[in-house]
Amino acid sequence: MNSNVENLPPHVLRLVYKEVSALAADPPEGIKVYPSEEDITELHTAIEGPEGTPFAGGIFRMRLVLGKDFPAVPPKGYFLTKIFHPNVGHKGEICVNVLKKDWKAELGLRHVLLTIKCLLIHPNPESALNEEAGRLLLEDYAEYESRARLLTEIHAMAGPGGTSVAPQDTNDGPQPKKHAGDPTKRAGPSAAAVPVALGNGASGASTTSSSNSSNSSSNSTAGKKKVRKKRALRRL
Amino acid sequence: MSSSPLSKKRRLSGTETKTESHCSSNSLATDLSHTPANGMAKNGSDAEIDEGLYSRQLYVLGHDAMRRMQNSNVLICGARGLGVEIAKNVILGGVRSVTVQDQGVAEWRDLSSQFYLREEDLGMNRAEVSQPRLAELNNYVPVTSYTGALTEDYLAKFHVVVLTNSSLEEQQQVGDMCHNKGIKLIIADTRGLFGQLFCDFGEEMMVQDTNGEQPLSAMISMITKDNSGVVTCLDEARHGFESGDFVTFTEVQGMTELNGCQPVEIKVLGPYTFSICDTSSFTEYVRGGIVSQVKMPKKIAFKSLSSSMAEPDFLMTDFAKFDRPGQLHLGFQAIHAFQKKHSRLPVPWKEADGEEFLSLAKEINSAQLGSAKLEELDEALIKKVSYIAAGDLAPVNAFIGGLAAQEVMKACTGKFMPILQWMYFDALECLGEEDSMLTEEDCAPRNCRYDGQISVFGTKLQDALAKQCYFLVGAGAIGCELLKNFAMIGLAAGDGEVIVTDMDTIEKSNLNRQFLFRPSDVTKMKSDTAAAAVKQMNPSIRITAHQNRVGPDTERVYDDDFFESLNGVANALDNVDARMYMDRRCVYYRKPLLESGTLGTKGNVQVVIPFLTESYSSSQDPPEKSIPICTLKNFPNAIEHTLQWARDEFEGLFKQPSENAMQYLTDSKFMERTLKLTGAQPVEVLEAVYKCLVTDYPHSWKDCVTWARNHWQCQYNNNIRQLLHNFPPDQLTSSGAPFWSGPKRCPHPLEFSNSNELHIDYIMAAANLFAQTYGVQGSNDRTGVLKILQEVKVPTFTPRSGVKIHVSDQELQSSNSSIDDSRLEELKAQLPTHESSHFKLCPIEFEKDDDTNFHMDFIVAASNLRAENYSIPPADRHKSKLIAGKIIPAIATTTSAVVGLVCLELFKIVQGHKKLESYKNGFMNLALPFFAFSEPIAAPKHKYYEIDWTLWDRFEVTGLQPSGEEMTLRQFLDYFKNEHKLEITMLSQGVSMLYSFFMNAAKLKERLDLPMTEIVTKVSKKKLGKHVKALVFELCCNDLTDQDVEVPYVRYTIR
Repeated sequence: MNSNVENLPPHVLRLVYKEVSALAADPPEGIKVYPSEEDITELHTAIEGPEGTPFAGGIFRMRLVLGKDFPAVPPKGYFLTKIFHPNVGHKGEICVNVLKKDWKAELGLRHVLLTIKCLLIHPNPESALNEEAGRLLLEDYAEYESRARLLTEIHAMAGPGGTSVAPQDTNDGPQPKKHAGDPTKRAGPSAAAVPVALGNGASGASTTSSSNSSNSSSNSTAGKKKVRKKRALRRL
Repeated sequence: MSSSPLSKKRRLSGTETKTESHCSSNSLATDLSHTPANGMAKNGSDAEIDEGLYSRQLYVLGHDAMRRMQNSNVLICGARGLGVEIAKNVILGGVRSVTVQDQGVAEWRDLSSQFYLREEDLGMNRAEVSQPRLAELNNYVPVTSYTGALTEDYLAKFHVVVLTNSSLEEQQQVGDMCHNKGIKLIIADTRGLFGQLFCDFGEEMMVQDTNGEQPLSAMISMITKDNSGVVTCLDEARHGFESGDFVTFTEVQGMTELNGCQPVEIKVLGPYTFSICDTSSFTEYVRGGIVSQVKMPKKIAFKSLSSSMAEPDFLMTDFAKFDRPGQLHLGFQAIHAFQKKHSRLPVPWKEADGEEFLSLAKEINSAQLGSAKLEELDEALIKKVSYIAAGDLAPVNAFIGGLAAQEVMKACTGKFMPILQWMYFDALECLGEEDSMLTEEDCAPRNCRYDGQISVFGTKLQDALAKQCYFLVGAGAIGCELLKNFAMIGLAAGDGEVIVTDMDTIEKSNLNRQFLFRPSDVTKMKSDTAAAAVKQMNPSIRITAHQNRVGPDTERVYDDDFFESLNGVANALDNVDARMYMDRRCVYYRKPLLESGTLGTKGNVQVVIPFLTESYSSSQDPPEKSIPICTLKNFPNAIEHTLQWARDEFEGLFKQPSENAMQYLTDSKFMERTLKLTGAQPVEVLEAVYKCLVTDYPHSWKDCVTWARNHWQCQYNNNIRQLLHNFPPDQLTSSGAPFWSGPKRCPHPLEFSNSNELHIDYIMAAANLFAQTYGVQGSNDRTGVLKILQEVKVPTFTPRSGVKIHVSDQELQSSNSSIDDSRLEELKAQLPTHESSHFKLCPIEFEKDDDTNFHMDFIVAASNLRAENYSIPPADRHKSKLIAGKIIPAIATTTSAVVGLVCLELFKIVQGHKKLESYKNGFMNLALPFFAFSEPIAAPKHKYYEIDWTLWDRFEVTGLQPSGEEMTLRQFLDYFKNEHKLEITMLSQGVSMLYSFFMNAAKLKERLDLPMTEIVTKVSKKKLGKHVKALVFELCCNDLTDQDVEVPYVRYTIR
């Protein structure tokens, strides 16, 4: 048995399906949710950087992974988009109380998403994972803001001066891929995800998703993905 | 591991090997401390504790108690089923010596539970026959048999005496002698489905640890100056104390009077607050501090047997049977009286004997003077005692025997609270539900090995047991005990079969409680060895051993045909995942499941009955809380945090890099996969490979030592300085409070020193592990390492200040991306080619139990160094291994008791009991001692329209249509709409979502006319094996009024 999420008891699975469908149908403001068809316990989201923060204008992709002990154990969140934030580690891991000691099984996924969005507004330098960001936030807010904004512009916006566009196809977002024997399976964050082609606009995004769903492992799409990958990398 | 794992720490003095130990009556003329032990090591004051063998038990009892056990001589009287069960557990436990006394010979009725008697032993002295078999259990414990009488002089040799199968006269006689001489006494007795325990540990018994729990501690946020002072803990976690607990303090700033104070009693005020002594004269509290619980010894005065007989104190085991202890107290006396009068037990299920027995009981009751006198006798109960008193059941012996052995350990060690003083137990629910009388003939002895069981249940159950097919998952501690019970009760002793599977091999630390295994079995398969061992106990049991792990991978073995042939499943697992998996399989195939587990002195039993109870997964314990990453990375405040950090270090240094590098070298698709990763990951992964294969690559042992030294510097000095650069000790938070306060302990960097043992420990372990991963020859030579260390030049480190941004955003943006891209190309070019065959990397799997492999050495050193960084008290190797190795403490006593209860439930299942109240889930904690039995929770009922359903129900849908074609998604949705008036809003298989109302239209269109199995393979990206005859679908549905309704799952058959 691998990650064993398949071992989730039926009543928990049913709960997850319900929550995910509610989220997909009625996402929290400023957050888009892309459930994975292959594995419902993995949720891809895109969070708009809240106004009045150095993240404003950016779209931050975040992956939420429900483990086998969900909902007794909180889901794990990872930013796939680079972000300069005291509570986000360099691999995208998020440290926030709601996802650790304050977690309660009844809180639900919506609450988790809102909390992470809230964390963008109110960082907590006291449980810093990115010490540099934590230090700057405490000592030199202007510097903190400028660094965070810079990273936002580099990584979370579509391109020079351009406005960022999230994938529009809210009903059927990009599908993550499983890489057998993934070398970075412990690294977690984006091991199972393919980068979303941000900035392609609505039509572009839907092409992406249909090419994904039609045949993910075919060689013809692999080449295409490489190109896309390169493009994504160049933006880093 | 060596072939004779037990030989490692034995110590033999010259005098200890003189004669054979198979002595009978007079062999104990010499003092027991000089008893020869025939080439075996022995326990005693001079003996070291064999940590490898006793590892899991040490985590239950601790070293002090273990040492006290090793100084105790134990006499166990009566070598019938109960006596041998107690002896087995006590011998495994590791006392100084065990003597088994019995004057009787093996009879047929003994064979239903005495697992060390065989049919060819009939007529021979039970103690003598059992002695060599018991002696094999533990090379450290000399076992002798004794067939003489229990004289006062003889008893004086022992610290603890256990009476089983003993007459009331003998009990009273021995009871008085023991009480007067300060010998601790336990009386244990089982009669059919009844059990009795009595303890007398003297008038001044000191209990060192009354509950077996680890002392708690909590971090403090405030202490008031008051009478009484109120302590408030940080809201990180509840303190968990109880009023009456004693605590002491460390690290308190300001009110320093409390630091290291004598234990003070507390009163709990809330989950985060409690009050202590008068603090009004103390200094003002400033901040910080840790409060720790202190275990206070407790003195207990036991009454002698004779006075306790008349004024008994009972330990309740089942609150549904509130008045039973008093009744059974009398019932057991009546058994003795009947036996004395007739020189035999009442004939099973003979009404006349029952009547006489009842009047004897009445006589005894009216003669009572003390509180033991009952107002009214439960006549039906007393008669049942008579009907089944002649029975001897393995499961009841296992339960009472497990408890009695734990009491022996308590008597030896003062560890855990003894039973005060009487305990009675019955499992009458095992009898037929209709309360119909069995006949005398049906239960008469047949001179067969099941006579002791037939006298309770009759032949019908015996025949049914023989035909059972059971799947036993696991052959560890619980598995071994289950197999023993199965063999004794005759499960699958006819046409049936027991299939036992376990993929593990036997390790030394198993031998302490997995009693079917011997030192010579180490490295053999558990299932094979266990199956062969129980065949010895009962040659007619039909048993097949497998080596499979249960899970999706073995479903082609454990397929529909396999499960359909079963009568039930018994879990003997050590993890929740596998338990949940088996539970799901049992629910699907609608098979009863016997589930149990132990944790130290705690044990639980759950019985799952199709269409009656909830399933195992319906209710679950909360999983352990994991440690937040920021705590691990920067803010550890407990040894658990540094140990987890050390474990992560181990993986990150000695496993992952070489694993990745090997993949790079051997897997041609590795590069392609890596380049597909998001963000900076491709560079990160390749950098790591490069580091592993080029930068770090050691050519000699010296390189390994140098690497270890530099890594030490990085982790324990540089990184800490960097952190302190970002957050200096006097850093304030935005609210003006000290940043380093509360749960955040301010670290300090360590300076490496050649004369610091811990530093060199670290270098030795890290360098050797590093050498192992590269196939470089390691070394144990500390002097040599010290020499190398003197030559190592450690680069100086200056904490990095934040990178100032000099360039415009635009510039940085473009330069950054080109840096990444060009670095990627650079790496690709510089990495060694796949053909470089001289690379032989060996990722290391963490193995906690081998003391020579440097794994635990590294963990202990790495964790304690980091603990020193943060001024956290270090942990010794034993404690570190428990936490880092996630070891589950275990002891034979709990296992045997728990499994006894499991097998009582098995009796009920085989008889087909249908009432919820007939079954008993059980929970126990032998340390308190505490027992609770409850009827299982009924399967929760759900409803849609007027249809009631539970987790045992399902929709049956035939996927293959008459036309030979398979149902499409459209047809499936229509089927539910038409046949069940249900509109499916979401359809899933496992974690794959096959259909949802919010699917995009194009995809839906494409999918609607595909056959269901095709959709499943497409979405899950997994092929369906040929063994798959049906799929399980979960539905979310709306009813006709558009209301969301809960419905059962779907079994969709495809073959």
